[in-house]
Amino acid sequence: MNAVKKRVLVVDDEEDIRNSISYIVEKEGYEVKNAGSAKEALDILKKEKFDLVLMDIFMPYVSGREAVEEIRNTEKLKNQKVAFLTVAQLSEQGRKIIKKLKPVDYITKPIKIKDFARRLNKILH
Amino acid sequence: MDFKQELAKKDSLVFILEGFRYVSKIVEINQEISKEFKRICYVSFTKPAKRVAQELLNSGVDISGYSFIDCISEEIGEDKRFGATYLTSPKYLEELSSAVIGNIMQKNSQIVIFDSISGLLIYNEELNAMKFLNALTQAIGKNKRKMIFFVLEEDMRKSLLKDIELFADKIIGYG
Repeated sequence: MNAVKKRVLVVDDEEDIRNSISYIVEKEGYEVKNAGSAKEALDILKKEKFDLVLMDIFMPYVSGREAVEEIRNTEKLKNQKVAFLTVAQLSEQGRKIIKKLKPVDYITKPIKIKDFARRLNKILH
Repeated sequence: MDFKQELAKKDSLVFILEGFRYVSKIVEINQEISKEFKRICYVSFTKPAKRVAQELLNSGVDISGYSFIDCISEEIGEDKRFGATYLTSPKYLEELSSAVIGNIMQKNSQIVIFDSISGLLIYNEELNAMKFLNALTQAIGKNKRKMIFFVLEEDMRKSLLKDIELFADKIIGYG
């Protein structure tokens, strides 16, 4: 009998990056769904369950940070595991702000594939 | 608030300014900066460098240590004989990035003043501007230089601009 695959939602407004990340996540044995915006991600999360959300920060209209603030303020979603995956280099002040959102990891792009896969597996096992 | 103390501890400060007091507050901040730093790079997005320099001079700011990067004179067809570094337009972010890093390397500026993020947003998508500022902040920080950004209070309410607090060291409401 096949084990149920853990599910990962990849949220990034840049299609190439989203597809590259999704490819690695799938290759590691997880089921992937993509969202091209934070708003789309929030809509998906209201309907489907995921074991992890990989969230970019700089996105148009609603930023990744705002999306995670909403996740933490939504009763049904508040315990959702979220890892930030972003080019943003945080200041000390920024790290404090992000820490309050309780991400399980903060991964900076460009990613190193082996390191990313290791961190992904650590979060999901 | 004594922002000089903050500037001694932090590398990047964002000043949130009210529109109606914008010029007077910028003059006030420059008066302090010109006393603290010998070499200052001033990037102007919405006013020709000549006009900015005149406003500072008229208010008694010593601009002898200033070098100006003027992003607007070419765009609006202004006189370009003031001696600033003239860029094509605030739209060309790579050109701007090269000019700022070039200024730091060649003129050894100790601090870069961006006047203003609000001006940058007139010519660029908010998302592109944020990504650009994040990358430039890293590049300037690596060169161990200080940075000051001005932004209009009403622009800070824009959703993406709030994220500047993630990579700036301190946000200061300055009236």
